[in-house]
Amino acid sequence: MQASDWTVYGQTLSSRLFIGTALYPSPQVMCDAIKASGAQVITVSLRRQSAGQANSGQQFWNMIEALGCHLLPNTAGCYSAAEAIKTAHMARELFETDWIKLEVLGDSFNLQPDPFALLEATKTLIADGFKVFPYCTDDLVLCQKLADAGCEVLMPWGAPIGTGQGLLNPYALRILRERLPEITLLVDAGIGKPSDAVQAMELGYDGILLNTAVAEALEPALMAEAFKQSINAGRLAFEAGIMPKRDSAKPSTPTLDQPIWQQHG
Amino acid sequence: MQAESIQPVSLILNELPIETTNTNLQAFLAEHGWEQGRFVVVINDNIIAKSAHSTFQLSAGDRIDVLSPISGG
Repeated sequence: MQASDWTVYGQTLSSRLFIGTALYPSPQVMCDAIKASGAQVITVSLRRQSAGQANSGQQFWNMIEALGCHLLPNTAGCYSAAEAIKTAHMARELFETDWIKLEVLGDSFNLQPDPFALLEATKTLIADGFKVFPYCTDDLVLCQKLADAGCEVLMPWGAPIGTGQGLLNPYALRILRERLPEITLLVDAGIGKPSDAVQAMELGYDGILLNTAVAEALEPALMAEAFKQSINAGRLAFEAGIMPKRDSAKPSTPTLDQPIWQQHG
Repeated sequence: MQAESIQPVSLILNELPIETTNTNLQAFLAEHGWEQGRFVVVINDNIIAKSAHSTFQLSAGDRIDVLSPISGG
């Protein structure tokens, strides 16, 4: 059974997994993993290419074009609003989409987003007609300000990029979900294994963006399938309604008309 | 259509100094292997639309960036 369809900036999707195109051992492994994941949105980037290597960018483009996925270009590696804005404009021209995964980093050790520059860049890019997918921390006030700026989608981290540590602060992520019920939320970064994705989806997150956990698995396509199933399972569980936790036990087998009558302390 | 100057002009291509006699952008790009396909050209921080490549004239000292798709997370 497939979880319900959802809409991202007016685009209806069935898969709730966004997947990156980096770090795979080979282009063919990347294509196989993306197909196995069922993802309909893939992240891409752009770089200068030295003269004489003009074909390598084209080869990558031909591969991703053949996958038929929506493209979500990123501004990876930008450390200021100005850099990110400039990169976003180049990405729009290159990939012919107004979607942008906005990364503005503030610290090179843990690649933590700079919340101030991120908000500044978000406002400018929305004014310039972009559909912004900000990679942000799980700070509630930052997320509220990004939503107020016009973001329909927010992508808080679960943990720093590439660490695979899972959801380091489930409380913050849960509060974000509760306080921003109308915003589409994806956990982006830090997902290490399918159970991390299930946890986020059970919290009511709309989707997951990941890359390293699949690309660096021993069998990327197999891991992509595992994430596909786990994200679907987590979403189904959320839609089904998860029972509340209790402090005391409650028998699941009916006790009425039990053939023995014992009193236990 | 190629507009060639007699004297080579000095430019910066993807952060490297370069000289060319092809001051027409389209011809300059073709000289370096960018003829067709997916790339974007930025000159002195301004994106040059593909439709303008054939008429854009390069000037000495121009800083040209050519960007292509790569993988990303």
